[in-house]
Amino acid sequence: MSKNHTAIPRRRLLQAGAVALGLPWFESAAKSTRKTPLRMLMICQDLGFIPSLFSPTGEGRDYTASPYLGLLAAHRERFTVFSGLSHPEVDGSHKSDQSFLTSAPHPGRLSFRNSISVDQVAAGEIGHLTRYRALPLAVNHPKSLSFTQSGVEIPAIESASALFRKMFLQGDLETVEREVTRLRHRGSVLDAVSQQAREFQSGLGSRDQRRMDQYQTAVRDLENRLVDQREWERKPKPRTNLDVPTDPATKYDYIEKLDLMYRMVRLALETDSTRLVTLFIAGTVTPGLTLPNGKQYPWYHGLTHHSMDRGKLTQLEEIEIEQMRMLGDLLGSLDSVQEEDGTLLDNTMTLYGSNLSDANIHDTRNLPIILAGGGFQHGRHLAYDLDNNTPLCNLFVSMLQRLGVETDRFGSSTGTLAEL
Amino acid sequence: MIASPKRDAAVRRCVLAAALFFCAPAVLAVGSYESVRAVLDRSCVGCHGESLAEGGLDLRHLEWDIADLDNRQRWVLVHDRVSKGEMPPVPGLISGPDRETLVAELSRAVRSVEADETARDGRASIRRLNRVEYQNTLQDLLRLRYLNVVQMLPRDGEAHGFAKLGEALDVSDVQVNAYLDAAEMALRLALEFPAARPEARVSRHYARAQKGMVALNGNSLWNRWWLALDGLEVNEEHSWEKELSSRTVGEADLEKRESESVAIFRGPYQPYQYNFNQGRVAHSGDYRVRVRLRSVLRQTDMAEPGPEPRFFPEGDPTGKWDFLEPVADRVYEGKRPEPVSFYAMYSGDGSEGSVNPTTDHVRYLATLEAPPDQPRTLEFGAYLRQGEILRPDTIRLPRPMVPALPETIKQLDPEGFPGVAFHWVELEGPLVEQWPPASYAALFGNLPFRQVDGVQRVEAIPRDPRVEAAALLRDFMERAYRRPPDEREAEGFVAIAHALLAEGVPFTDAMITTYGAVLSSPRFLFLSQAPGQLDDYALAERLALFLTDAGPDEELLALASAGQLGVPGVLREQVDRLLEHGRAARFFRGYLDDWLGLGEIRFTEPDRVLFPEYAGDDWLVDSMVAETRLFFADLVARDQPARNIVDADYTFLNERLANHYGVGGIRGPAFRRMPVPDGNPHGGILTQASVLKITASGAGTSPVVRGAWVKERIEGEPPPPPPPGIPAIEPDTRGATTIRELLARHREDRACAACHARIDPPGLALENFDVMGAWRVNYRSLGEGERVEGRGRSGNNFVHYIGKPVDASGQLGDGSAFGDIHGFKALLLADERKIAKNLAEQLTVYATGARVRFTDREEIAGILDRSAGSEHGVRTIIHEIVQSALFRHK
Repeated sequence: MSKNHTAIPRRRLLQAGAVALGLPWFESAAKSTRKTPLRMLMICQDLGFIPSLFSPTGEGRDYTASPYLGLLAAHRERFTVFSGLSHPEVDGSHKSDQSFLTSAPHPGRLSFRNSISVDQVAAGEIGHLTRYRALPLAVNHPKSLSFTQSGVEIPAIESASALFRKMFLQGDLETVEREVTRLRHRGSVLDAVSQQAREFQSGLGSRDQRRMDQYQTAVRDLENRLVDQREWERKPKPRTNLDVPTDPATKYDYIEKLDLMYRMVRLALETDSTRLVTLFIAGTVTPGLTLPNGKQYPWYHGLTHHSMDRGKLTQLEEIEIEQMRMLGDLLGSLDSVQEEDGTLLDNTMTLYGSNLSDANIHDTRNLPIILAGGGFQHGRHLAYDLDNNTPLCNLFVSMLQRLGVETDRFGSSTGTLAEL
Repeated sequence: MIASPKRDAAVRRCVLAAALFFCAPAVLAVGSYESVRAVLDRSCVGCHGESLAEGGLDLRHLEWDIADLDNRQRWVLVHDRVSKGEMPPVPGLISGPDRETLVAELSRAVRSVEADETARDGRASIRRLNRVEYQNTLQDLLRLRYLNVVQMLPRDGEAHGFAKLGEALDVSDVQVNAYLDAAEMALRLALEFPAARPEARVSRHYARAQKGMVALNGNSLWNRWWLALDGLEVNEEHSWEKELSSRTVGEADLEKRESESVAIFRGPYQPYQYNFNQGRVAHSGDYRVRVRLRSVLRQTDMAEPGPEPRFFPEGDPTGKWDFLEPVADRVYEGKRPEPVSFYAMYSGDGSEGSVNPTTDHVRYLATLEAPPDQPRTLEFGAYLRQGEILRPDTIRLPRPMVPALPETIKQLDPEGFPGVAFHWVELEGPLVEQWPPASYAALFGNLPFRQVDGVQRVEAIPRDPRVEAAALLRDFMERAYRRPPDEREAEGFVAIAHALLAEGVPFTDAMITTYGAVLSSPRFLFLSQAPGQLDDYALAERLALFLTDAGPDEELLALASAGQLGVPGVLREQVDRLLEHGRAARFFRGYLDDWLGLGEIRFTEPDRVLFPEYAGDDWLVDSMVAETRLFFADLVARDQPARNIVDADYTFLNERLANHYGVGGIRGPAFRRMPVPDGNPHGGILTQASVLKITASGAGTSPVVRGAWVKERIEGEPPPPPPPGIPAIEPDTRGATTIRELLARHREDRACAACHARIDPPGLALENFDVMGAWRVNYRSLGEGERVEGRGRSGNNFVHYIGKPVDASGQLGDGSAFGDIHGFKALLLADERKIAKNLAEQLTVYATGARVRFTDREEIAGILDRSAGSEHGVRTIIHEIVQSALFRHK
């Protein structure tokens, strides 16, 4: 790593977020023309938005912002809002959250099986370039948006302090060596296990052999991952002069938790600890919350079942305004970090949306979706057919392609979003 | 998924061609298709053809690909509807011989494919342990008194409602890594004890000296949630003292100290929790816990005199936060025993950030009753972990919830505000019966051990590391694998241990790494079953996973090793033994969590405006779960008929649930078996509050959701899933329309009507039960009806309306009508066998990890025939399942 590469951005980063980098990315990025890597951040707020307050009118660049989008006015040129997108065949009320990044059909059914999430597809291509292949995060629930190839949920990190420690606290040399040895031993354990699996498998019927293939693949994948991880252990972690944050105590601290997690997301991306972040914001299990102005609200999920009751609608609207305001802050914060090619926001495709549109009736069509940053041409409302939705996966494919993943399909996609 | 029809057709052709080529039974099946096709063309495709696919079924294009599960299920549906005479709907549309041909040929085709599957792979797919089984098995294997690794493992996939089926229990690299982590944690836990046997000590922790029992900034004017009491005298000085050490006489006056207490008045605003933070457990182990406490009653006079003494401050409704100042609190003896639950709360080693997020923080220990007349010392036994402290909870009193507004705190009792005065808690322990702990012997036999420097952990001292490593591993593998390992497998793991030792890794670490390998290997993680009849070891494994949610114990393994377990009488004895054993609690929990969804009972919370009386009432929710578990366990223990699922003349109640059900005469938190009074609708699992809550949302009930649930879980007739793109019907909480009216509109649509005529009636019958399962005669609404205004249990102001009356009548598919839940239950119980059949099928899926197929119907029928003598007693059904070919074959 040469000095003249890092001097400028590091100083700016110190100003912006008090983070210093110990930075592997330049090595790999040097091979392409981009000096900074492209990242992907995908956020799902699981209670939707009151559609009439979210949906913009008009199309293209001249669209009229809705009351909620008006709260993002400062960033209007930096994002695109979509309407008429959803996952075909994804129903199942609140259970649709599991399919938000996978598009696996009918999450409510007993026979449901999930499939790989879009961030994990990307991780298969670019995950090895960073210390963490991807970071699935969550607020108020350890549930995750990320699923492996075989549809197994990858647990999310819910504690901001645990995430912070993971990213920044460096062990001493002895600790590092111990960890490297541990990983090496784990590797030899897997060797033996996989040997046994082969013998075990040979005595099985054909259907069971296929099931055991999955186990074999899992062991092999893990072996590869451990090799990568061992290399990362020896590299220094990025440094920061920030203190370990304190996790808010209860589920009632929803807003503080979310705010803290947004800050951690920025740190993770800024330090190139990972290039792929998913964040699940669990309003459904939030028993109540307090907004920064001190006003308290009852069960968030309960408010979304307002049946057009004025009192509940008003309370819900106030919470949703705060959600949008916080999103605006996040975008602003990402945009304040200068990198060699534009700002961190320019280099981060930021998808924000929900698995429900109108949570009052558990509607999974016409999802509220915003895409900011990532170098797309923004400032527009891309409106698709409200009665015959376009697959949300088409947007995912466009994002994967931008990330350099050579694919023309994901999940239920039928193409890309050519208009983007 | 969007699929291209063209590609699908091509794939189907390929599949068909492959089937023709490879598999003889499929050729036979194609032969019979011609006769099936002919009947369909004559009698069915008029409605179920391409132009008019009634019920979404296009019989002209339904592929004759029985090997495909989805397709097979559609053909089975055709078979069933036609054989029962439900289809075609008009009698003359099919001739008698045609009906027979169709039914016989479909049956033959399906059987032939399933017989082939059974021979090749068995009914059940190979599967791994689910995460609960993994944890239980590990805990038993390592002889750990406590283990919680469930949260470290990814959630399991479910099929047919159960996390027991191979096709849904996937494995990924994340999972394998998590297994390795969990195993390592558990193995290290087994060595976490001091080198010297700890002496039992008695430590007493006075409430007045606990930071966790008082607010360090004193009480606020309007919210005095704790008071320092000397006897029953309020010690004003100590109640307002900010300095912790000045709140007690301490050692200066030992007699006076005994009379000191902290009275906690839990209201809707404060306190969220209180605990004995100084009583941190130093050594994990069994303890005798003694608590000195009593119940009390407080009355408070306010500065501004009013006509009545006010017991709790009422603030300014304009929200200016001006509160009346309490001038005098008087405390009296309690009017009644006050239930107090005790929990163990993990608080780490006391250093900041030492809480382990991978283990649960709060564990339930016991519920006591604080006596009203005088302080008494009560005692219970508990296993406590190092780093845990005791946390009491006055479960009957309002639970503080944000946002409870301070001006609207309601007293429970017009004669005063109830609370509990805590004097002290005393911990006696650890009470060590076995030393070293069994967990050590499970890993290192009788090798000596020594303390590891600086931590509370031991390491083994080997005499001959290589020899002992090999011997210990062979012994461990035999227990872990639930059958003797073959020599080559053992050698593979011994080689790992030897390599680590050669590298200079300390003996204990080398063994832990190698044990970890054993615990992540397929023979531990996966069930070992070969197609055909299970051998005795596989039988032991299946039986233990069924009735204990864990691997087989020593007795089962010994019987398997002696080749005795398969003897029907022995198997029967073992079922009885496991069901008597305390471990069957794991079965009741695991099975009910999945079958009824009990595990998800807290997924919704009642709306605090519509249902203000339930806010934060954890005692009620916990009691609901306890009732259902106790009741089901009783059905098993006393072999009560399966019809009790629908209706029963007894149940298990405590005070909270009895009040909820409108049954008087019970006080206290203990459950007892009680007759259900005549006319009370809560007898039977179907109308227990747990089920009624699980099937409701927080804001209302939907007959569609409840109806579908009853059809699927109780009647065993799962309705088809809703067509895509149809949003759910949400109850109109404004009250303008009843759900029945909404549904009626829905059912006018012919496409919807066919299914909803079946789905909705059971749900309609349950309409008299609100979201928490209490009886109601009117709906509540947010907009229409008779206005009700008040303050909820959690202190919130509410306005709701008593809306339209409930009509719980309906008509079943066969035309029989019911007026309410009683009538519905009577209709359901006209066919007791159906209820028993569903239970037998659900238990079979749970027990065997495979769905009940078309071919398995005779076996299920046999189980039912053989349990008829006991009127389908639940224990008899379990016995008959275990004895059946379904259970005894893979």
